[in-house]
Amino acid sequence: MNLQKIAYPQFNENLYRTTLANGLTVNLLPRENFHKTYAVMTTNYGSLDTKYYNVQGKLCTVPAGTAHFLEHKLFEKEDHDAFDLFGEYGADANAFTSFTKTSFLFSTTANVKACLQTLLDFVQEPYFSPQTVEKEKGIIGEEISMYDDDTDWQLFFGMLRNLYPKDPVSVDIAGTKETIAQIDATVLYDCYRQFYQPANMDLFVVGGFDLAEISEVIDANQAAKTIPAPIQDVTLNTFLTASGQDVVTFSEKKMNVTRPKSMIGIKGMQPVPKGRAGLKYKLNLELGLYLLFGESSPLFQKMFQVGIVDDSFNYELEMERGFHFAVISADTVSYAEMESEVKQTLREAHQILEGSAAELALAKKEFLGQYIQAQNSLESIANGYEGRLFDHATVFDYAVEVQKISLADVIAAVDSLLAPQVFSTFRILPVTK
Amino acid sequence: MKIMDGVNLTLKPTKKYKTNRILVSFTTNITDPSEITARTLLADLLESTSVHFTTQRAVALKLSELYGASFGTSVSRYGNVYGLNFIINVVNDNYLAGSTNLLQETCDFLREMIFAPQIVADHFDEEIFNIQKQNLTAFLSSLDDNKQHQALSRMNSLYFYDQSQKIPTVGRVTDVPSLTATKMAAYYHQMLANDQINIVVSGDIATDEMVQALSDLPFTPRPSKQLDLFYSQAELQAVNVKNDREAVSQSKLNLAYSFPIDFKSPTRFAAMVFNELFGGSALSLLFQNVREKNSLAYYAESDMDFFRQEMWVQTGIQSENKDQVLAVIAEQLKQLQAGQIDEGQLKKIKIGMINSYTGRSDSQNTALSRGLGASLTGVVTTEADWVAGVQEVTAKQIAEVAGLAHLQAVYFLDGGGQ
Repeated sequence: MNLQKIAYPQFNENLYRTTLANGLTVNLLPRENFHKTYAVMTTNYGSLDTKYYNVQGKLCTVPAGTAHFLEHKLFEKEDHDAFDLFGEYGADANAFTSFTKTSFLFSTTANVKACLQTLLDFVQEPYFSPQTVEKEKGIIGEEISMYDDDTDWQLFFGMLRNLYPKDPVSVDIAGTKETIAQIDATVLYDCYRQFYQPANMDLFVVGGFDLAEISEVIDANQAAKTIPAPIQDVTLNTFLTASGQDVVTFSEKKMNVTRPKSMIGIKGMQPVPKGRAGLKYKLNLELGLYLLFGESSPLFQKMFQVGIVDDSFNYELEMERGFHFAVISADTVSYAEMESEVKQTLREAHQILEGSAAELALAKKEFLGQYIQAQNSLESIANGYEGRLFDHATVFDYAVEVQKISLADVIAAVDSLLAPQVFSTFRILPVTK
Repeated sequence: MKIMDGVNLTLKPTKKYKTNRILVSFTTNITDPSEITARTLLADLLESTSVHFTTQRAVALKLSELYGASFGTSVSRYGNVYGLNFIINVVNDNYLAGSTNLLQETCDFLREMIFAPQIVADHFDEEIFNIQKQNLTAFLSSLDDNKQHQALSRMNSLYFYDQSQKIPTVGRVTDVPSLTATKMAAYYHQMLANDQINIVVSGDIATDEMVQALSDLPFTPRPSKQLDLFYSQAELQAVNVKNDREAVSQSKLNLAYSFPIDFKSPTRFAAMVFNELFGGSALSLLFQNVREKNSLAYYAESDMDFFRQEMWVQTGIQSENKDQVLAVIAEQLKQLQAGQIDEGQLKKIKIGMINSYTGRSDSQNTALSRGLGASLTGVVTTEADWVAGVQEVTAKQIAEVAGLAHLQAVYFLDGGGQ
């Protein structure tokens, strides 16, 4: 394996990277002193990829929830379940699906080689049958029911429906009971062939493993497999072209809650730059939102002191392939006041940030420290890797990049997020008894 | 090591991490159930402000200056013992450019937050107190918005007879109104003077360096005592049953069992293996039979609490499947009690437990909780002890501990038909 070494002397880390002949990107980060090894195999395919052009160039549409369904079913084979194989080795295995990615993972302190082979094999050798697909509908149906009762999840998806009313990102990652009813083995095989190509995937291994030994295992395992030729540009995002006029600026829903919940959303209308410039834009925005809405912001203090919000006040930036948006939310009876304060801060964001040079210096210290803290966790290191989206940046790059940011960078990024200003409000209110 | 009477330090030196993590834990037996809620309010007050940092913003800015140190307070319960904990995690100076002394600055910050609350003339600052009280009321009243939490807490309230044990670890909303700024100041002084104190530290720190950094914390000696940890209650012959009807999409069925295990005997290893086999992992009987084989649930799991001698099962299901799920759960337990244990599965369960125990050793948080656990119980378990303890468990021992689990309470949060 022809590994490229990427050194981060400040953090005493060496990352090794290569792209195999079949197109699979591999990242290896050996960690001395650690008992555990964590490995995650990710495909650049998630819940919003419901439309694609197949190898014949035909436009295909699949039911919402297909990527997540595929994630569940990939473990089960004709004569065994991959969970059991990991069980034999004592390893913990799991998987998760997001809007744009599906990841399969294990962590173990023994039998790393065998576990890694198992991971590569179960992900790369699909088996779906009508019986096993039908059986899974009950389990996923219960997963959907569980999220139906999760009020924070409902708040988040209520906002997504407002911001992206016509796009698959607004549908629950697991789909609905109606959409999963339409899924069959053929749909799963089609999507598998389309998206689970090595060139559309990456493997990240971090922990107490032996570099030479593990590179060899991966090489040998991949060389032994015949994988069909890759399809170029397998994913298709169409919704970024949608205009801000589609946005639902306000809606609310009654649910079984004690306290009202409110969320303000800001839809990013400018395309995110590719590669490291995209990462830089993300870090600039994270810092900007922290200065405007973080725990050390004057706005939070002002609202906290008069009892408009408590510690449930929160903000989040979501930036994945093809979309980005920010949300600010709280559980509060004074939601109208909170909404108006937040919107006013957004309108004045440019001026507020211009006066925040001293706060930015502190915020950069904070972010650097947080990115160093994250390096204690093997899971944080591997899961924080965004693959091609930010040109293979890791948490070590985050820590390096954040130190270079200037106030002008932050202001420019926030101006860009707010140009034009596309806001929405979504509330969950208690059912009146 | 003992710093003074009633104040202990456990240092876990390691070069594995890039941070130093410090836990200061105040523990006590309580006399009145309302103290549970009082300790939560006190934890909130002590986390948010101090004499020098008079607003949450001032605290947040100070933490930024300490390179984003993660700081917080929490409350915990170990059977009859209640903890109020300060935790701070801060980057080791080795990973920062220039000359910094974050360890000393962090201890100075802890001294401020622990020893200098905003108490003037025997009461907490009224304005701050009122906001924290209002926030706690809102927080406690909305806990049941999480349906899994609601079902678990109602199951416990049904299972326990003891008033304190019935109450969730964070307290209950009906106890909040009686708490005043004066009472809380008195409670703070009492805790500071009398609680047992355990300080546990993980990081790349030498013992003398740590002792030096902590030496400015003005603790006073207090009688050192072994707290009364284990709660037990007599078993009921009949099972307590409660059904609540609510508009939820997924119904929750929870079962509580009495589970009297002597923590200080090797039986505890058999109990842990039993739980893992019954419903503690994805290879367990509950997961395999309730979820995989019968597609009745997304989650179906068991857990246990040695300090409260309780085991419980949680499931999220459709209302009409309740009887079937109850039957499947009972059948799995019966099998284990009868010693019908597949040797291959038992082997896998044990390997999995050992693997995951070893894996958790790669976390500073684990180091702190294991350190605190050893101080509280007086039971020191090395990694080798733990592994050997699990290895030695036999199918016969599992059947014996399974026989100790007796169903006592069934709580059902019924969402009705679809």
